[in-house]
Parts: sequence; C-alpha cells; structure tokens
Amino acid sequence: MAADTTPAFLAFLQIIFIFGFSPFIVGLMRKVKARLQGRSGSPIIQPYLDLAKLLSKGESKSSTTSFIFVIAPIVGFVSVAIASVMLPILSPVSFLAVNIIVFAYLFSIGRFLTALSGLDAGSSFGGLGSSREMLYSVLIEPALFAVVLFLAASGGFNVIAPLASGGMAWEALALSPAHWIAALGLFIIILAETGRLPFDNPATHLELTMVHEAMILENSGPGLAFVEWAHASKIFLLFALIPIIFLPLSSPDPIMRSVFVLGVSLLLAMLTAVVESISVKVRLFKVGELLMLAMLLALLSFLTTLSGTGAGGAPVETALVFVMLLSSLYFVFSATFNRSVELYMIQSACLVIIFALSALSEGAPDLYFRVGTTFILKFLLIPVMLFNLFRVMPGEVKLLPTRFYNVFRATKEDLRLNLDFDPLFTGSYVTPARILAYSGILIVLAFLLSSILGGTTIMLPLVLSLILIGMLIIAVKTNLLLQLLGFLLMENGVVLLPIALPIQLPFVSDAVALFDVVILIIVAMLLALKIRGTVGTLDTKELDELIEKR
Amino acid sequence: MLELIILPPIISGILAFLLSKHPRAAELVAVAGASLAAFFALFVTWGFIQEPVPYVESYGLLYLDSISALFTSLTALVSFFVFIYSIGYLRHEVEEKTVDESRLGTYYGLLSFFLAAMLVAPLASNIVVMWAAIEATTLASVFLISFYNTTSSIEAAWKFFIINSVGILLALVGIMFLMYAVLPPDSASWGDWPSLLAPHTGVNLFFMKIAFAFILVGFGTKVGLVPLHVWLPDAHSQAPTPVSALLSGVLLNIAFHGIVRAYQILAPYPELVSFASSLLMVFGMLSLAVGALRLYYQDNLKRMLAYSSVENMGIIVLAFGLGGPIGIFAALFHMVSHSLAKPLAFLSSGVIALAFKTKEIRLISGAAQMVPAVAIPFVFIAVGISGSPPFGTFISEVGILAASLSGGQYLVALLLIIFTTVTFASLLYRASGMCFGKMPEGVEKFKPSLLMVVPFVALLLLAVYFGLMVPEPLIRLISMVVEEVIGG
Repeated sequence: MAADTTPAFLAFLQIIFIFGFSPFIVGLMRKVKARLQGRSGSPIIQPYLDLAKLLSKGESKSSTTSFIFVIAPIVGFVSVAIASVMLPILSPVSFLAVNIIVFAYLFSIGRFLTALSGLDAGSSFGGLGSSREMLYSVLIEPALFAVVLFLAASGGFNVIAPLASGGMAWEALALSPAHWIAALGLFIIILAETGRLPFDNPATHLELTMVHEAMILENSGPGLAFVEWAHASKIFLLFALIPIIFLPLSSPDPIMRSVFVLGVSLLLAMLTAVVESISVKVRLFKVGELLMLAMLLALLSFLTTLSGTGAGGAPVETALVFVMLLSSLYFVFSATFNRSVELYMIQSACLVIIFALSALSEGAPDLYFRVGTTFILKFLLIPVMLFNLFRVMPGEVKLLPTRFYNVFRATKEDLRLNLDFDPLFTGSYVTPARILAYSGILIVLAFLLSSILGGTTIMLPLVLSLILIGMLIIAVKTNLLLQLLGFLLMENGVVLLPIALPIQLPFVSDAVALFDVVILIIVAMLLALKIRGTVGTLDTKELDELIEKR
Repeated sequence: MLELIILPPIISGILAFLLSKHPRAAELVAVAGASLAAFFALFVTWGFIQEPVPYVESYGLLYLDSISALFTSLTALVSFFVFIYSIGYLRHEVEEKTVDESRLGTYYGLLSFFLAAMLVAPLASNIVVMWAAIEATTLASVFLISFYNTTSSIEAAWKFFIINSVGILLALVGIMFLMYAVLPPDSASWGDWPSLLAPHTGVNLFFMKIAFAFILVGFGTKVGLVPLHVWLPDAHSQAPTPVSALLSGVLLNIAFHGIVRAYQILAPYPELVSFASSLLMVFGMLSLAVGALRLYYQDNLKRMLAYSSVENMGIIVLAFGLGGPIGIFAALFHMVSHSLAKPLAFLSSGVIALAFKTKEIRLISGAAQMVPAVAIPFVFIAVGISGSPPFGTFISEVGILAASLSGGQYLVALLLIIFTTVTFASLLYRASGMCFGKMPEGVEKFKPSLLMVVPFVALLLLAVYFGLMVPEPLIRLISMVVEEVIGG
C-alpha cells in the first residue's frame, strides 16, 4: 500500500486484518494442542467454518432473557473492533491514540455485558460462570496495573506506544532483562484475561469446570458467532500487544508490520498451546497466587526501569540476578524438598557464572579462587549433602558416599512434606499468595533503600531483595530444612553484596566467611538429623505441639 | 603472646573430643585449657594496663587494645570459674543418670571450642574475622544447648541457631556497608581496625547510618535485644547450667562487643552518634521494659534469670545510648558487674535445682536448710543482678541514672527507676520464697560437691570485691576503653 493511503482506510483495513486472522490464530492453537495430544485434530480453518455455520443458523433464546441478552454480543463485538484500531499495527502511530487503560477497559465492557447476559438467561450455570469470570477480572486488575506502571515508567503511558519511543534500540531491548520479566508477567496476564489454561479450560465440556464458557452456554446462532469472534479477536489483539510493546518496528510499511505482528502472534499462539498442554487447571484459590506472581514480575520490572538503569550496567549479571530472584520467589511454591534444593542449585549456578564473569573481567587470582570455591561448595558439596541427608542411618554421623546417579535422588518417604492438612499452604504458615505479597513489599523496600543510598548499580536493590526474601522464607516456612534453605538463599544474596556495592573483600576474608557457612550447614544438618531422630518430625507446627508445657 | 590466650582452649577442645573414653581426662584437659587462657589473658591485660599501647601480632591476625583487653580478660576469668563448676555439675548429672558419661568428652570439647571462639572475637585484628568468630560461637554452642536431647532443648537449639544465624548475616551486610562507606574505593583492606578508625574524608553518612542499623539489629539479635530476643529464654533455660552461665554472662558481652566496635567507628561524626544513640536507647528501653515485666511471671527458675539477662543487656545498651563519658563508663562497668553476678546466679540456681530435682520455682522452698552455702548468697545475688549492693551493678545503675539526669533524659531516668524496682521486687520475692520457709515433703538430702561450691564461693568473693572495693586497675582499664570508644 502506498504511504498516501488515508488513515481512515488503513484503520478499517486494520479491523479487517484483526477480525480476519483471529479465527486462524484460534484454529492454530487448537491444532497444536491436538497434535501435542497425539490427535490429528480439526483443520486450522475450522473456526471459520464454525462461524459461518453459526451465522447461518437461527437463534433460540430463553424466555427469561431481556434486551441485555440481545445487545451483549453486539456490544462486545463492537468494543473489540474499536479496541483493534488502537494498536499501532499497520502504522507506527495508532489511529486512535488513547492510553492503555481505555484499551483494557473496552474489553471489560464486553465482559461486563456478557456476564450480565449469562445471568439473564436464568440458568444456574450462567450465574456460576459469570461470578467466576468477574472474580478473575478482579484478580487480574492489580497485575494489569503493575504492567501499566511499568509502561508508564518506560515512557509509554499515554499512548500505547512502543517502548522504542523511549529511545531504546532493538538490541538494547532484547538484552534488557527487566523487559523480558515484564513480558513474562504480561504473558501470564494475557493467559488469564483470555481464559486459557492454567486459568480456564476453553475446551472443557463439563459445566462445573467452566468459567468463560459457562457464561455463554445459552448463546446460539449469530449471537454466539459474534461472541466467539470477538473473543478470538481479543486473543489476537492481546497477543499483538507483546510485539508492539517489546519488539517494535520503526518501519512505516503496513505490509511488513502486519506480517511481523501476525508472525509473532502465531508464535505466541503456539507457545500458548504448548503451555496449555503442559499445565493443569489450577484451583480457584491458586489463581490469585499465579496472578500475584505476574504482578510481582511486572512490579520488579517497573522498579528496575524506574531506577533508571534498566538496560544499562552489566546486562548478563543483572539477568542472572533476576533469575536468582525468580528462583527465590518460586521457592514459595515449592512443596518438596528436592525441588527446593534444585532451586538452590540454580541459584548457585548463577552465582558461579557471575563470579566467573567478574573474574574474567578483572583477572585477579583471588577472584578465580572465589569462583572455584563457590562452584565446589555451593553447586556440588552442599546440594549433595542435602539430597543425601536422609540416607544417613539415624544415630550415626557418617555420610555414606553415593554413586553419581544416586546423587539426585533421595528416599521419597523421608522427604515428602506433610501437606495432608494444609494443601493450600505448601508447608508455610501463610498462603503462598500472601507470601508473594510480602515479598512485593520487601522488594519495594529494597528499591527504596537503594534509591536513598544512591550512586550504585542496579544490582544493589536486587541483591537486597534477595536477602530480604530469604529472611521472609525463613519466617514463613514450617519445615526446618526449608528454613535452612531460606537461610542459604539469604546467604547467596549477602555473598553478592561485595559485587553490588562494590568493595574489595580480600580472598582470605572471603574464604573465612565461606568456610564458616559450610560448617554452619553441617551443624544445621546434624541438628536436623538429631531432631528427626529424637522427635520424629521436622515440622515446626508439630514440634510446637510436642513441646512440654513450660 | 596473644595466641597463648586462644590456643589452649582450641587444643584442649580437640583433646577432649579424642578423650571421650576417659571422661576424667577430658575434664582435666578442658579445665587446663580454660586456666591457661585465663592466666594469659589476665597477664596480657595487666601488662596492657601498665603500658597502654595497642599492638598487632600473630601475622597480623590478632590485636590488642583496651577494648580487647577488657572483653578478653572478663571472658577468660568468668569461664575459668564456670569450667571448674561444670565438672562438679556434670558429675552430678551423670550420677542422676540424666546424662551418659560417654558424652562428657563431647561436652568438654564443645565447651572449649565455645570458649576459644569467644576469645578470638575481641582479639581479632579485623572486622571480618571478628564477625566469623561470633558466628563460630553460635555454631559451637548449638549442640551445648541441645545437650539434654529433650524435645524442648532441641527446639530451643534450633531457634537459637536459625535466629542468631540470620542476625549475624544481617550484621555482615552492615559490615559490608560500613566498609564501603568508610574505606577508600580501591583499598584491598581487610577492614582492620587501624584503617577503619583512621580519619576519612567524604564519608557517606547515610550509608554509615544504614550500616550501623544493620549491625545493631544483627548483633543485637545475639545480645538479646527486644524484639529480637525470642530465642533467649528458651536457649538459656534449656541448656545445662554451666552453659547457661556462659551464655548469659559472657556470650552476650561478646555480641555487644561487635556493637561497641561499630560505635567506635562512628564516634568521630556527631550526626551519626546522635542517630546511633537514639537507636540504642530505643532498643535498650524496650529490652529493659520487656525483661522487667516478664520476669515475674516465669515458672522456671532459669527462664527468670534469662529474662533478667535481657533486662540487664537492655540497661547496658541504654547506657551506651545515653553516651558521653559517664554513660559509657557506667555501661561498661555494668557489663563487668553483670558478667560476674549473672553466672553466680546461674551457678547457685544450678545447685538448688540439683538439690530439689526441679527447676520450677513454686516447687522449691527452704533451700537454705538444704544447701546453705549456696542458697543464702543466692538471695543476695538475685537482687544483685537487679542492681543492689554489694554488687557492682548498684554503682553502675546509679551512674546510668546520673548520666540520664545530667543529659536531660528525665523520662529515661524515671522508667529506669520503675523497671529496676519492679525487677528488684520480683527477684527478691522469688528468691526468698525459694530459700526460706519449709522444705517440701519427700526431698532427699543433697550434698553439693566441692567442685561446685568452691568456684562459686571464689567467684562470689571476687564479685563482692569488685563491687565494694572497685579496684583501681579496673577503673583505669574501663576509662581507657571509654577514651578509645569516644575517641580521645
């Protein structure tokens, strides 16, 4: 298309583009899911055929419905159409330049009316679906606003402008860990907003497990067609949000832009299909936890961008510290001891790489020493000791040497945490959602402290967050060994502090501190063994019950 | 010479572990180690008082100045008496079948390592080694606390371990902040005292404030400051009595030493001193209040004494916060007096508990009839730890009162008077209830071994002497420390 095509025409073309390709996206998702399940599945163009069929059929309405039932599909369709001109897909500047809140709430109008129409038909399943859907939308909002905060900090609040308008080049964006974390958070939110697994199963036929589908059970014929089409287009639009924000193109050529957006959306569709295939639908109570995690991720990127050095500094080291922070946060969810130790190994690996990078850049011999000791102690020795803790005979102190293939397996019986009475709590005193909320507060505190202290790299607030979250884990976990692992996570953060500050700690004091920690681990494990041998449990709740009255 | 203070306990610790099959030999070796340490510590301190020149030794790892001298000699001296008492106490426990004789080697080994770690901390030449030594004291004492292998003692040991380790790690964060703030950017220093104390330009004051806050919270956990004290009553009551005596009487001081050093680094900057003082006073008042109020409601004798430790450390920290030469002198004098009186309290209560086979206060009465040599002084000691003559705590509390009044802190003075009175009354009531009156039915005759009574009486005489006569070398030493801390 020539560049002198009027914007109105391009806008209309964009609507057709979105609505034209959205059934294809849905079809592709279904096809990939089917293939992963070993079926051949319906053809990719099946959604088009379904739409055609629905449009040609008659509509049957329950006698209790009112005008809401009639207008809901139409308003939903129209609101998505309006939203679809707001994104700068075919042109670098969007046709309807409004801020992202308007964009998000256009979808809410459709959802609101659909929820009402679900109640309108007078069936209990409709009401069930509506209430669940509204609950989800309430839970999604804080996470969404965290992403909005992030966009605002990156300079793109008033208009859904690509982050490139903040002056960052493609490569810098690609390397910036803060943006990837925000993209991850946004992806989780999109999964929730569009009703895909693990939040909602779009393919379920069991009404009691439905969330979105239950609302539209009573719709039929053209009404259903509009609802389905609008939903598919919503999915396409939300997928398109990611390339527009995070991978912006500056070229004004509509064809190239549309192809790019479509291509990335198709990739995201396939990724979604894969994620759906490996996820289970989470319990209603856990939806909040997942969205809380998304909110924390967006909050983290927001804080990082706000402190001004989001993409600057040492990107690889920063990315590694982000990975460490994420593994600390994921620790909250880990329900088995083995998983927790594996998380610790991930952290140790990141630590070794960070130290290696700094050793390579500075070349001082004591830094290489530090790399070596960290690798041997934290990546090999301590995880091996932890994994094999319960192979020790009760009463004896000898740690049996094991063959390598046994290293990563320990007696399941001994290491299973007792979750029978608190499946929501995954071995903690409070629910994971609340722990994540506290973590968010601690992260904000860490950034606040660092900004007041000033003059340091982005690593300092992240390292402080690591330390504080380690303390939080010690405080909330009930199992003694998980408390010990929380301590180790905290210690990882402290070990990074000399790099974050940066100060030179000569290697002797490094070695002294490290040696101290190893002895600490051994003492802790011996004490844990003693507790287990004498009292029979490692859970502090049970310990409290067993203690004699003072 | 300084290494001669540290090496004997380390060697005797190793030997004690090896001599598990020969408990008598293990006892002997442990006491030998403690005596040598005490002897050399006092010798070195005496030499230092005559010629107060700080020096570094042992390949730059050990260091002696007035602060080191005071803390080291106090630790070694008190430990000496407690070690001898320990022999008698544990022999009784073995007789009562509470403890198996084969475990004595482990006990004395751990006790010696504990002493060694406590001695290294004040003698360390740089801040990181001091930190590592304080960490080592936690590790050495964990299994001493859980020694009886009951559910409560093991749980107390775990709480002690995890809370103190977290605290000490936070102190390390503070130390790193401190080093970042104070040392020039490209120095590869270890954080040794001379370079940390040397005058610096362009110091980031806010960093130093945050550093001090972290160090105070971190080491304050180990000192037992409220609200970080939650491990203290359990740990100090569940451990064997000699270990409790060392934990309350000596270890709390060593942790406080860390805070003293940090304060010393801050001292040249008035803005930082006022910040540190406010923090210290807040924590001090809280500890004083909570310790005093909870003391009365304890059923367990040793828990009562543990809360008294919380209260006393609160007083020490409060006095330090009041600052100025009077405040700091009073704080240190209180620390010395408390380190002499508190182990006495634990030693005597240990004998009483052995005699009546219980630690519950309401089950004990008429102790004066059973073990008069210990019980009657116990009443005096009990009020002594709340600040009454003939112990030095009286003088120090008067000094703290004077410091607060002269500094215009009238509220502090009022609260100090109220809470010490409360403590005094509670302890007097409980102690006299235990010592006087009729003995309960069915209690067997008990004769404490001389190995328990003699060190107790010796320490008692020493404490009374220090409290009544206040020997001049002591005053001189403490004045030197005050000068060192406030900075000439």
